[in-house]
Amino acid sequence: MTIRIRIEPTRCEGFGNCINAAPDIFELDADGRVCLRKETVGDDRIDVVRRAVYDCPVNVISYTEE
Amino acid sequence: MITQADNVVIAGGGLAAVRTAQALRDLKYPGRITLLSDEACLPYDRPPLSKGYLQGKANAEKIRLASPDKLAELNIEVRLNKPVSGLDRNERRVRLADGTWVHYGQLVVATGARPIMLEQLRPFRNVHVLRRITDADALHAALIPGRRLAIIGAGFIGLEIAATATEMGCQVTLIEAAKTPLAAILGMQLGEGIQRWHERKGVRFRCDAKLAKVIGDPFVEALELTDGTSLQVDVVVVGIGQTPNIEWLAGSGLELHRGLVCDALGQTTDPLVFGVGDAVCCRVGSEHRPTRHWTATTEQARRVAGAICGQPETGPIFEDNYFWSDQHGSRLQFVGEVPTDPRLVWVSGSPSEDRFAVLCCTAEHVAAVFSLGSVRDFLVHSMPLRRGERVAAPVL
Repeated sequence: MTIRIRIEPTRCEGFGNCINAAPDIFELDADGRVCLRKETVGDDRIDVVRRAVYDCPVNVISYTEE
Repeated sequence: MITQADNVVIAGGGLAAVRTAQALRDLKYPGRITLLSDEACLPYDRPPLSKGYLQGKANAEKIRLASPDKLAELNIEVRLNKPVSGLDRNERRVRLADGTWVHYGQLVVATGARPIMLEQLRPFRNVHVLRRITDADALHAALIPGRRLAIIGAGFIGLEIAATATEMGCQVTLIEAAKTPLAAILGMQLGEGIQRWHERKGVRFRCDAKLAKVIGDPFVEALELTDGTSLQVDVVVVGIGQTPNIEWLAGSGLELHRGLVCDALGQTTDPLVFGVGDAVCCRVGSEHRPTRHWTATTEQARRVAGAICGQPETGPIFEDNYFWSDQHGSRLQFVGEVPTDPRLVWVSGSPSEDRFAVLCCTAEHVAAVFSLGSVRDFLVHSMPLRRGERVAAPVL
């Protein structure tokens, strides 16, 4: 099973909690907004993805399981 | 095995309560989830209350944590106007203020905290606190341009309200008992830097001063301070700290000390009772750490959901003491703990500028990172600290 991650970069405020949770999945672009280094990850990463979702103060990240 | 017959009751209606409920559904918890909120509106996020909401730029719907549709989709029941008043662990039930009982399979205590009020100021009609949306509505109505606002306490709430009220055209003075704002968290030098920055934006300070006497009735007209000065005021805000809402747990047999005492996973000594958020004080070893910050709450919520679903978090749990505060349109960010007599290493900017990033070091290590308006620098330098890694202090 894979996890597909979705982000809404226009609402991102650059808190960076997602990057702290999973620096291999999330990064900040030149404008200080989140972007994805990977759009899908294995379900072994579900804990860090959930952490990124819950720690985002502006609720920019979501995921679905496929 | 958890089935649909199971039942989690969450006492509370804020961030801790909603995130715990969402995390349970993320983990496919199949049972009932019921939130008991003492507020009249659906759960909302508090940080905007001292900024955009206070200015009138947001409404209750915009700051909501979950829409009614989302709650219905997740099958999370939120009961409003249901303050809790007692706990009977023998019968596994929570007593509501109206005398009725709610039975639980498992209970999550997420009743948050309330602001501490100075008793001298309690009887007056133009004195405010800020925690709830109703507080923000009342304060918004009072912050008319030109009005003189005195804020007692230069912590985060005080500083944020000072910045917002200044932007709204009020004349703001902060009264702080310590020698600088945020002294206990940032130390004197950085505290002074923040004070100067606010002063450049038009905010005034009376530090090393406390309230001595209140003049006026039924409205406060002036405050006399312990430094011998006097301040004419139209509006007063008290922002001197918070106290956890745990009185309802008295007599329940649960340990209460600066909050509901929980371990790092949010568990109490009762395997059916958990705690998340500002009502909680985590005991790790001999240390007691009351919950204070937003991401600490969201992380506790995930852990408690995991514990309830029999999937407890197994990795190391590290409390990074991360927080942020938005003031005058800039973001302050902090992680770690400033040591006594820190050696400050400036990554960028300086306290006389409107943006900076600084490492607060002991002789050997970076103990804290603090930044103002420097998102990238903060991110780079804070990451190892937030993982509990030891970072050697830069050699000058």
